[in-house]
Amino acid sequence: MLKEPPQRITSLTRWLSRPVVDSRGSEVGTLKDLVVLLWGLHPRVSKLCIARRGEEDLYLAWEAVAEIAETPTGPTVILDRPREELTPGDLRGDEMALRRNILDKKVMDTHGRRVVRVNDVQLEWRDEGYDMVALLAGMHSLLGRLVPERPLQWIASRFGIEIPREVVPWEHVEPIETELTKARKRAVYTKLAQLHPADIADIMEELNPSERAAILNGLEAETAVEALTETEPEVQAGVIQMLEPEKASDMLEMMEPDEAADILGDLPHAKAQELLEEMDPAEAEDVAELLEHEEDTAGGLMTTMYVAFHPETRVSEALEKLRALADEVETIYYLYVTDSSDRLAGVLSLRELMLARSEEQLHEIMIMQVITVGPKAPIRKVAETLSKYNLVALPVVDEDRRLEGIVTVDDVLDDLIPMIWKRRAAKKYI
Amino acid sequence: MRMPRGYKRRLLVFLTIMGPGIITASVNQDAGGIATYSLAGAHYGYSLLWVLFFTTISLAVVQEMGSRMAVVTGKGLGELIRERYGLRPAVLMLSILVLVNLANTVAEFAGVAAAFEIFGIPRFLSVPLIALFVSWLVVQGTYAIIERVFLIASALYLLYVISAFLAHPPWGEVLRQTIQPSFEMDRNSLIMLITLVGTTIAPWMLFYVQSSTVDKGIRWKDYKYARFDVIVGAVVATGVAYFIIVACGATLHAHGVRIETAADAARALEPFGGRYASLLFALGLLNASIFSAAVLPLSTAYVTCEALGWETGVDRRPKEAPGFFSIYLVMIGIGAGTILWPNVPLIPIMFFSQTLNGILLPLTLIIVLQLVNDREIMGEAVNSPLSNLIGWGTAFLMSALTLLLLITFIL
Repeated sequence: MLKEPPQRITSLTRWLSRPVVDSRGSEVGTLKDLVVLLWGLHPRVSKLCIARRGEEDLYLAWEAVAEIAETPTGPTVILDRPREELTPGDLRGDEMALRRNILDKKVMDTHGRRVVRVNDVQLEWRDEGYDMVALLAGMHSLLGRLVPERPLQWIASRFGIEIPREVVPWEHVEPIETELTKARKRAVYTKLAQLHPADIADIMEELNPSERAAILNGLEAETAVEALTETEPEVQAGVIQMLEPEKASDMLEMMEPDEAADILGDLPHAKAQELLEEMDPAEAEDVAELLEHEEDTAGGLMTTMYVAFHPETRVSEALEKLRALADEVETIYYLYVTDSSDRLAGVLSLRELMLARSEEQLHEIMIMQVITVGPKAPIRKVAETLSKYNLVALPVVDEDRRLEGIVTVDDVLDDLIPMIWKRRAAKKYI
Repeated sequence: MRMPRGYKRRLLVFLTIMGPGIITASVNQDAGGIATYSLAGAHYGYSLLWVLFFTTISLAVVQEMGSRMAVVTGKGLGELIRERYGLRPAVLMLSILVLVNLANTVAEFAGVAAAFEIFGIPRFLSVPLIALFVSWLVVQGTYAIIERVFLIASALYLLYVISAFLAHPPWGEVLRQTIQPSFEMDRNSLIMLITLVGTTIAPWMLFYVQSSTVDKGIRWKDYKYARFDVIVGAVVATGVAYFIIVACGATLHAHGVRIETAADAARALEPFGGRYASLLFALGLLNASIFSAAVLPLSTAYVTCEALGWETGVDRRPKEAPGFFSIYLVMIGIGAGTILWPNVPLIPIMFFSQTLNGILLPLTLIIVLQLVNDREIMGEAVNSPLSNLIGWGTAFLMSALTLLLLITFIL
């Protein structure tokens, strides 16, 4: 049993390929990997993997380490018994080999909201054992593996360069698995799931499609949908293609129809058709209708999730229905009044509805002069109309004045801002 | 910029099927490639056409391996090398890649200079301008612009086919030499052979096709499309090469003209191929050079930064991704700067970069073959015996040819 090592804080790569000797001082092999037990906040080193010449790798319980001798070239692991008495162990399901599974791999830093590549693993001596406390990224740990520490320090101090150290505490690390390389167990992204969907979206944009798909599969459906809608349109289309059609259509169903239509519009026609068929028929119909419209027109921007009531609906009745509908529709600030053939008769705001007497019928209090646009109106005109009349949403009607949907101001903002100043992110590979 | 939905959809269908493979093939038909094919046609006539038959198969098989690895692992080649072999080997490999790609970028700017000189514009004007344009494309450019540049670029390769037909070659003779291998054992022929294979199967292509396939996010289920794309890409790439060789063979070789510069290659077409043949040739060369001068450093920067864990992305500001922009801009700077050096011979530079490709290909290939046969990485999708045979065969042949070349230098 190891008492106290020469270094309380050390790093994985200092140990790798270093000799492992038995109690008599004869070499057993070289250290190939360290294994941690994935329990608690800081996984503890539980086994070592020794590479032996001409023999299979040997997994040995950490308890067999008697001493760690610090030599000028690095540490040497000394075991507490002769080599004949070594009893090989096996990797358990809740154990992880650091070199094989973490070192040189990509991980998510949920605190810094970015993706880093792991250059080293920091170990700290606590309560008679080594704990994995942090991962090292950045230039310092990168150079540390390529050139000896001393000349590096010398050059750095000579030229007054600060080589940045990046330490990611293990409690913020979420390993990445791709859909195709994932282990038997499905990853659960507990740390990631606690972030705001927009932050998850930021991290996802730094990954490639199959990694994104793996993350969406590991997140709760609602979080996954929210995170996905926050990403760039190209990303959305790519991820949807990577997911199983069933999962993809489930996610599309949970989105606003206009968002779903935007994504489907970016997919190859056959793929979009496949997903539409997989979706719930009612939802699919809404989306398919929106797909008919050109992308940057009122028809392409609008959502079919709005509130519309019959002219003879009473105020009290309307308020009650509104309560039930509020969750599903995009805005409840405007209520549209349509006749039995869906023709737009008037509009009233939530404020007007609440201030009205409860027995009044909607046609008595509604405003008849509704500002509308046609489905073919270009986005610029939609934006101008919204801004000119200070509206939150704008109804889209066809030639017969039938209400087809509404465009909310945020839909237009999303599209106008990039046009004006936010450059579309150029893609990596054409 | 948003495209109308219908158009975009059609474009996406096209790009889904004709994706990374065909783009890689197009980028590969760069200045160095065109110079090599022109020289092969001018100096050896149709006698090397048979080589293309084998390079097509090799190219398709080798590219297929990269695209399969991308689909199975979701990782680029640079990343896989780092994860499988560790940091040091990865850095070594990437350094070599950067070096070779740098040579290739120099060749692209040589192509730019040569093409503009055919139009009578001096390189001191054209090269800095194009260097600025290419830098702007990445710092400022958007996906839509790059995409359009690509579409135009691809279409322009048809010019070589037209050029070849305008030259009226004896098609019977051309076909006979295509299927009848012949080779002379001297140093120049050997260099030409290595270069011809090296320009068709370049080390960076293996990195490029894999990264772009990863980015496409193709699922294993849809892998057959990726495979088809790679094969079409290989056929198109060597098809273009074929017509360049035929065009030069029919004109230059038949009349005993030896070429020293790209302008020679273009001008020499004039008396035989009509007034416009030379113009078309220059335009094609220019287009190929600019396109590759933009994409080659870009892909190098991506591969390097992803393996090292540095921030990447054209959509970031230079301050946020200093490593990425440094690699890109330094490559452009050195590429353009070298060409501005007084009296730099253009065609030898383009040719030399291809020879370097040919020498370094075996190393990359061996690594790819190891990775693609590793069950821990590839699972059931490891190489088939036939792919292994062709892959190892290509690696072995390239090594052997390179060794032979070295021997001819010593003797």
